Amino acid sequence: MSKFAKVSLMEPRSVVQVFDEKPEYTDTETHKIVAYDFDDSTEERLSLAVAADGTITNKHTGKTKTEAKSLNDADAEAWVLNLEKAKLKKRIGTRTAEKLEAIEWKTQRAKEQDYLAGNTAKSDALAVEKKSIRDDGNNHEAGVDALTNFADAQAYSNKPPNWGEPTQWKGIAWE
Amino acid sequence: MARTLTQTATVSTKKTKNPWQQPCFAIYTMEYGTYGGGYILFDHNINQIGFKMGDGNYAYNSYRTHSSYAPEFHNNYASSDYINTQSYPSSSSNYGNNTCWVGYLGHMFHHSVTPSSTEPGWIKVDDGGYYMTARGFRDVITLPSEKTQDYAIFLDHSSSNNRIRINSRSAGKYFHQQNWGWGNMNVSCKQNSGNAQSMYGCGSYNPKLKKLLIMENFDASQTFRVKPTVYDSVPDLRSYGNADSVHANKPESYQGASNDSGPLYNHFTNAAGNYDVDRYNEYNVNNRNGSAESSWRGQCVLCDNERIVLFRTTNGGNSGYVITRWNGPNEASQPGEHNGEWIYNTLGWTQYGYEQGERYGSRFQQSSDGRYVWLYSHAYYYGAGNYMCVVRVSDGKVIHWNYQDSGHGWMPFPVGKSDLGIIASYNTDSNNGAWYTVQNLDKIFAEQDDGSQYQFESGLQRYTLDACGNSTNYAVMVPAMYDTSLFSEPHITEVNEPNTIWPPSS
Repeated sequence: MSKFAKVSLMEPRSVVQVFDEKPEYTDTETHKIVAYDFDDSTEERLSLAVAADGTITNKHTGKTKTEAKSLNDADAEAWVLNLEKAKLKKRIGTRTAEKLEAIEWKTQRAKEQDYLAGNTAKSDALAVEKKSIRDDGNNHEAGVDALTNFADAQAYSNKPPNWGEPTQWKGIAWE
Repeated sequence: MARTLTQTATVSTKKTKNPWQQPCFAIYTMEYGTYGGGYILFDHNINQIGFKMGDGNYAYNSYRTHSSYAPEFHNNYASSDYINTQSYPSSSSNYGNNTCWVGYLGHMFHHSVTPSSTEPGWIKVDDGGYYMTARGFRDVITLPSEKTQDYAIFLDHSSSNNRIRINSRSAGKYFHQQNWGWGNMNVSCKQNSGNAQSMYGCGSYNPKLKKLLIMENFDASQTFRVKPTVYDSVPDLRSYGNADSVHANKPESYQGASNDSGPLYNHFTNAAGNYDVDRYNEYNVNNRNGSAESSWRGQCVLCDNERIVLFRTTNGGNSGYVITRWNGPNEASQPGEHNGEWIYNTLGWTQYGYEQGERYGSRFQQSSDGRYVWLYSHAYYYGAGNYMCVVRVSDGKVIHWNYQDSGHGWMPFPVGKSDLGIIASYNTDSNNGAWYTVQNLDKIFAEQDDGSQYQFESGLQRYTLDACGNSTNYAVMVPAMYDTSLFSEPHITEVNEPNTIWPPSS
């Protein structure tokens, strides 16, 4: 058994070393020494959760070491998957905003055309076009939510479907 | 061939330029989609000397960081993990703030700047780092006591031959040579009647001693059995590095000449008087966890008193490290035998070595004046945490650091004359900037016991090293390539030579 542990108080808070005896160490705002009876024969190091004040608890108490390792491996896989999904959604949102930005010039033109025609036909059509872009992005983001493994997330395009359709402004090559 | 062997001249009189005002390291961050990112460059006084920032979606900065109008590499790789800094190593394989991405040759995925640079840095393509620059990081060896660190020596495994290349300090140039099979010289293993096998990057050239150490895997199997071979009276290898070739001093030939010929080859191969296979004992310990990284790689230092320190990871199903030290062959007591071993090999974590890709494994750096060499590896999976062994070259004194962080990278760099700096990949957001610490090795080695652990993570500082972009970012540190010779005499007068007599008198 080890009686003491050095913990990092920075996210993700973790145990960074264990000691049999209390080491000479001056606690800092980022690291401190805390008492904890770590049993390497039954406990997984990655199962140790560190609270903001440095207190250590085992989140898999009651599990065998093998069971705890499986749970930690699953946590690690979920962490990577969620990271990839967050990146995908952010990129899809950015691409959608880029596409809307690129046709913003149509707003002024539609207003002027509607003014001359005495109706709102052009503005209505533009609103539909913009909505379809937003829907396209939202649907694509919903597809990200449905992903359940890292390989599928990596294969999932960050470009919404039909992304290559003409935007009528040729200044940006969308692909 | 047939060129006169010369060295690039060093400044022989005191230079007016303050060596501390040379580039030291750059902080790189990139939130490619919205906020952008870039580089901020600092000198050895931790003062800022360069800045270049690109924008995400708002065209306010120097370049665009993704999609159309972005520079080529950013255009194609903007969202790649190795470029964006929106997370940290932990269980992700390729983030740029991995501990093992930095070493003597700089950073695997970024160009190091020099005193001649006009910009603070730039990226490489992912393959350029994973498979090209990485090879040099795998094979380069230490240069203890070398004040002019403008070259690099590489040892590449090839059965019972050590494939040696000597180039300028450039992982890119080395890969070009190695990938095309150019410019190497095969020095046969000497141990176990020539049946030992070569290793990757496990050697050390000490120019003060004029000796080259090549560590050999004794019984050609995946074990911890190694034995050092040390070559005496070695020609000045820096001159070969400046010439970018181990063949630089060969005579002109009109009949075709093998790579394995010439005076340097003969020195290592044909002149048996230049080495003695039994000068040091074999290290033969089997109760260690080990993988290919543990058996075929390692970082070693040939100290000024001929002691040898070897650092290896034990990443075969566990995470850990073993430090071994040999006595010098002329010591009165137990010459050539092990006199120290420090082990940590019990942590049940996955720890990648080179067998999982050339970009993983142990690394080294050395102080600007060559008086300290630090050998290190990440502790967890792909690049989090840090196991480090710092060696004082004068006498082989060892201080080590056992930091088992499963989240963040801890990226070391040389700073000033003989200090060790470390940047942790903590979040730069909320006005933290990059988290850094600078450790005074002279003071630490003067005060701590030989073989003791030291808490190098202490003294983390924030709020001073800004990072490009203003969102969540986990900093990448890119070491610079500066003129290290300016940190030694005649430019700086040694004020207090450390005690180099071993064992200490008190």
